[in-house]
Amino acid sequence: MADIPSKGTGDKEFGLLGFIEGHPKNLPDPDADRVSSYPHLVAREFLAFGLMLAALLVFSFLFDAPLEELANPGKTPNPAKAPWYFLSLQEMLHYAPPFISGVVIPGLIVIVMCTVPYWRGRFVLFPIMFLLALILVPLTDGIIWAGIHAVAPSFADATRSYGFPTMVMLVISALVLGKFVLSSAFDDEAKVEKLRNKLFLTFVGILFILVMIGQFFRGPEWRWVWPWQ
Amino acid sequence: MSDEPIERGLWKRIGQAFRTTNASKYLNSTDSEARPSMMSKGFREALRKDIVRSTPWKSVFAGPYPQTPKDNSEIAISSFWLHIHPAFIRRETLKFGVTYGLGGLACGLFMVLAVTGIMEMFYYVPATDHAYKDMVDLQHVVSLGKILRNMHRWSAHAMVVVVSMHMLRVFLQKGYKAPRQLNWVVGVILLCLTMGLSFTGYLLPWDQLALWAVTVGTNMAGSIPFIGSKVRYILLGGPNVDQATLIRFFVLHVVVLPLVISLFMVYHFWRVRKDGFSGGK
Repeated sequence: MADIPSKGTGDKEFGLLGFIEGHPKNLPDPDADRVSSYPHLVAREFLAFGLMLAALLVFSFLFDAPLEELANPGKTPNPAKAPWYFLSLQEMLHYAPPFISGVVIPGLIVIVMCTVPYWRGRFVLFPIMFLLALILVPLTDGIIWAGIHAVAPSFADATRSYGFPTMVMLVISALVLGKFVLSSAFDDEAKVEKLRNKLFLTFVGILFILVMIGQFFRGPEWRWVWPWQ
Repeated sequence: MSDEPIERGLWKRIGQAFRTTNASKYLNSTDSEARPSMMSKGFREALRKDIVRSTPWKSVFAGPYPQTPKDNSEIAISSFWLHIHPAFIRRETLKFGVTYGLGGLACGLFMVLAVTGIMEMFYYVPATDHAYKDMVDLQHVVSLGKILRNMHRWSAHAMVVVVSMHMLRVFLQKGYKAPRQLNWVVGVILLCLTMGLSFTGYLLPWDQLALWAVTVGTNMAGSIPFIGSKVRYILLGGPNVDQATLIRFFVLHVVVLPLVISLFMVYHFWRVRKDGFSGGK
């Protein structure tokens, strides 16, 4: 230790306490093949931005943004469509009351999405299955409500605007899904991992289909029309 | 510097300053056989030296002009504009297929939207008797106004698509796993804010499309039991989509939401760096 110059007045200022194996967890892998982010990454970013800008300019020269006639509160277009990213909700509006399709479902989708990273083990499937339930269950609201209406008409009418069937079905599906992911079918972790992505892609796919239906297949009174009609 | 005595007189001083530059010395050097030209590599080299050693250059750029890998790595640390990046990254993360550049593109689209949006504000008055006329003027009277509006509109749609695809990509690669859980939540909020920005902007042209899309959207809020009509009234500033709604959506679209989304974006990027690799896949 003689060749380490000591600045303090004492003999030593620190001591070696011991070794532990491996390298610190939070440090990046020292063996990884690294490059400096300037210019390698920065150049790619500028290139990507430039290409994006060029694509936007070309697209803007070719296609004009829609501008319809002046807003007229007295003249309701039929159908009045929401922006495309809300069309899945508007499509749902066709099946379930507005409180369900416009407030409860989007609110729950956002909340469940936020919780996605916090589920562990086999339960990682639960939020994704519940997301699927959130967009599929409201589509059955009308049918279930009609069933209730056949038995207890006054009760059905009183609870119609709150989307009672959907709420009950969502609670039931949450319980069923909870029980389902606990079953031995999901003991295999690799299987859970595979299913996780497939289920999420299904969820995104259904939303996409609902948006497409709303955009291209819905006409006056939200009736089904073919795009060429 | 040279040993010449300092000259008196303005023109002589300027001439002397020129003669002491590397570029001038290079051009006037007599030791090479051919007269050095301004197109030569040596001249460019001398000029570059002059520029990077000048006081204004040094005052702008913290480090020297990067020439070695070490200089390159220090740029990411010393430059304000680039310190969002780590000094070094793994070579494999440079591959396009790792991220598809979607997060960066979303940020780029936001910048395009901010610039085109501010330019649109030069021509737009958020009044019900003015807004639509301003849009028509922007399309037919203002030079390149149509391109400006198209750019803003298409970028807005593209941003909703790109942010959604970014979220899908992060999900499929499990980028939300520890320690990045909170950043996923911030990402969900950013997606909601993106849609909020797009939706509030939808009303501003004050055409039939705008009016009725917002009517449909806010009617949903009106369906909340007991407090629905109050919520709708607060959103619209009145019983119907009217002047009060237009100014509300305008302020939300150009001030409140851009400010909020900028803060969340900065936090999102900061967390990416601080949290480190989530080891997904």
